[in-house]
Amino acid sequence: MTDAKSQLTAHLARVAIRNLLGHPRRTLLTSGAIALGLASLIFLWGFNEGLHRNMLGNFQNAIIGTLQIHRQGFFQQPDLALTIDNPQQISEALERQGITRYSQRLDTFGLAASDHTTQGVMLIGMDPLNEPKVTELESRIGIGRFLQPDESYALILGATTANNLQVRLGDEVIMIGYDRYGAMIAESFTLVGIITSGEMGLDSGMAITSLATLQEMVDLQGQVTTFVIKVDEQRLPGLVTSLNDELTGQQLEIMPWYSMFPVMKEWVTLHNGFLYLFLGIVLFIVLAGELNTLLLSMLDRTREFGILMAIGTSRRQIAFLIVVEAVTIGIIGILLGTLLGSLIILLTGTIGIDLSTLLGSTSRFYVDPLIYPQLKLDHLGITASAILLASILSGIYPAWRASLLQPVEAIRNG
Amino acid sequence: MVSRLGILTYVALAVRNLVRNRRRTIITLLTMMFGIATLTLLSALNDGWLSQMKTNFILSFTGHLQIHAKGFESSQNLRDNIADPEAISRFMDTYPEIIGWTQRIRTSGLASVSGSSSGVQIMATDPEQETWVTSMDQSVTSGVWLRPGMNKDLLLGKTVAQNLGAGLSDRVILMTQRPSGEMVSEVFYLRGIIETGAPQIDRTLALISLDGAQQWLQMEQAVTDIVIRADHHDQTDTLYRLFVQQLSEQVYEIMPWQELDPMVRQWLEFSDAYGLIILFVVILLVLTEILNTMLISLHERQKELGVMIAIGTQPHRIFLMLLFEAVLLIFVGAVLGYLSASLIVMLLAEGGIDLTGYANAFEFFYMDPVIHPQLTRDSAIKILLATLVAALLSGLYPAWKATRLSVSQALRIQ
Repeated sequence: MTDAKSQLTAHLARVAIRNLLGHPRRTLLTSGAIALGLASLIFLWGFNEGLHRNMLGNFQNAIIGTLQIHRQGFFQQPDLALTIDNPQQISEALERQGITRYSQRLDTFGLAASDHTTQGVMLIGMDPLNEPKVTELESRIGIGRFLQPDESYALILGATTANNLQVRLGDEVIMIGYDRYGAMIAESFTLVGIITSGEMGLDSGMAITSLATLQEMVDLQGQVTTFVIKVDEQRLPGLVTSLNDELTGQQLEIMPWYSMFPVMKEWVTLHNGFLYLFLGIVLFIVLAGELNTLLLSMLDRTREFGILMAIGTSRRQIAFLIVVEAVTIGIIGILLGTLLGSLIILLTGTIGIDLSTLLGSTSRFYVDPLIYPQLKLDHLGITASAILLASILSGIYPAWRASLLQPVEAIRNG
Repeated sequence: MVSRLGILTYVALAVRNLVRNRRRTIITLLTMMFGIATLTLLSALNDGWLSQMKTNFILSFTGHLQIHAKGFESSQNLRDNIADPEAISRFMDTYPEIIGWTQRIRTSGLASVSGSSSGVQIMATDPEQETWVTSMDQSVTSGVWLRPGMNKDLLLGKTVAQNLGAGLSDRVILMTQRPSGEMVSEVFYLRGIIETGAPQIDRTLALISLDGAQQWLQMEQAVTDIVIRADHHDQTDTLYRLFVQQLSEQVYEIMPWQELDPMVRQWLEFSDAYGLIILFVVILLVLTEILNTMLISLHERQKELGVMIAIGTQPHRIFLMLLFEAVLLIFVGAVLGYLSASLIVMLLAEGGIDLTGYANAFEFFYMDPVIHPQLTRDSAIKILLATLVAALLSGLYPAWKATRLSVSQALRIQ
């Protein structure tokens, strides 16, 4: 009994496939439309992914790194009393984790003064040798150069700050600040470089000098406030856990970029929210497209169904036939669409999409003008299964309609 | 005989075809309606999102238009001030487009609280008039807004206050330069914390009252900014032209909001480009969906067309008839689609689409968690153009295909 049933099912499935093959044009048109829909979903998601990776990468490489270590509470309230007690121990812990790309800094606030005016700035002492391993700040210096080792009282300013102070390369800039005891100090610096990134937060409000110089100025020889570390995004969560274990009890805060700048992460999440809204609508269009072609072709086949019923095919079998056809069309569409979408991603991922034609050439936001879309397998899985589900859904209504047909009328009207 | 059949005959024929095959017409019409409606909806979402960002930006700090003494925006020097603001403020009541205006002094300085210090942007404004221009008074998260007549009141951005470790009613010392170049410092009392969500404001703002600042900095009646809020974004240009006519270019600089913060302009451009790429993909998808439907519906009608050719109808007449059908369908579909989308937009615009689930602190880059879709004339034109292309493509190609139909083959089918 069950054997006969399964035989019948297999037979019906064969009929469905033969129907599809018998109308190659209709089949191709419908599954082609699905393929195009899937390909656009894959592309949009890949584009979004590429954009965010690019943005987050640039954001981290600009100045903050992937991970920072400070004394507990320093990030919220950067006070020179909160220096790291034992930098050697942190270095050793990092080396044990196989991290080579890290650098030490001393961060404080200061007032930069020229002959004309003053500007409040974040004064950062950087290690000229190790810093380039962590950030790409060096490449953002459009005028002048980066700090050199063994150079004292050299200063780098952002373009906006330098502009406001009306200073040029080689000019003297006075930095006014407080030392560790809270006494006011002032030192004279020479401007050697200007950051012209065009990016928010880099071109203004920052002054950079060498670590040794700043340590001398605020009387904190050999002391640092910050470790900046560059690692792969995948390694980050594991690294945070193991560093926390190793350095436990030292009153340190180990902060990945997203704890320091949660807005950046939330921005990505929000942007994804918009994207999902769009993707949902695109999926809806695909669904409506298949439903519509199935309905049209059903209309055309009313007579055929009538005959099938007249020779004894049950209503349920006819419904099954249509659903099988819909799903097969969906699967062909998914295969073609995955192929097409991956091809598009491969192509645009290699060449890149040039946003600068759409944007003013100055637009940045840590986004390069060329975006390289990226394919993620889990995204592919989600979109493909959504489309499969959509094709099953779009088969159900026409199947139900067909099962309601009256054989005699269907044959007469069809 | 044939020539006596005018164009109207074919229009009538097309209409009759559509009415006769009511089900097919309805299905095709629904596809088009759906496509156009989704397109309209997406573009309204995009426009609504962009326009909200614009509004949030303008209301958070800059206003629509600012008037400075010539050169102030680049020099940021208090010597470039407007000594007689009365000369400008007398225009304010005469233009109905202006719904609020205020005067400010902007300069940079250093804020310090018991040993820790931070660079700040000192801004002095009229406590009452400011509320007509920006929503800064509503961004006070703890404490109170500036009180008129209390010249020692100080409000700080959230991050500044955090960095300084300052709490409400703490003594905060502000240090800056007078226009004469003399360095001065003064004690203020922290009365409120402002959180706008825009990092560059929260990180640097120190807000005091205009009267207090004018006395402290010995500026008499002088101010650096006159900030104007227009009734609507579109009136920015009108107001800009009005003031350019009234005020001498040698003395003043008049800047619309786009120029005041190039970053935000770039950000808006970037978001616009991103939305455009998505819309483009969706347009492509809707186009194929429509074309697909037309092709399939044509495919099902081969026999009918074969009969027409067999009784002597010239191919170009069939071409015309099919084209009319397509144009009629798309026209009706577009109107219905646009109308239904407008209805949805109207319903959604009130409550908005809430994306709060995606992120918590949202106002980064002036974005809102709730999107209110918005239909604009520009987007209506874009959609109309896309529809036109759709009509031409999906009408022309199938119609052209039909003219190449071979009679014997068309009749043989089924």
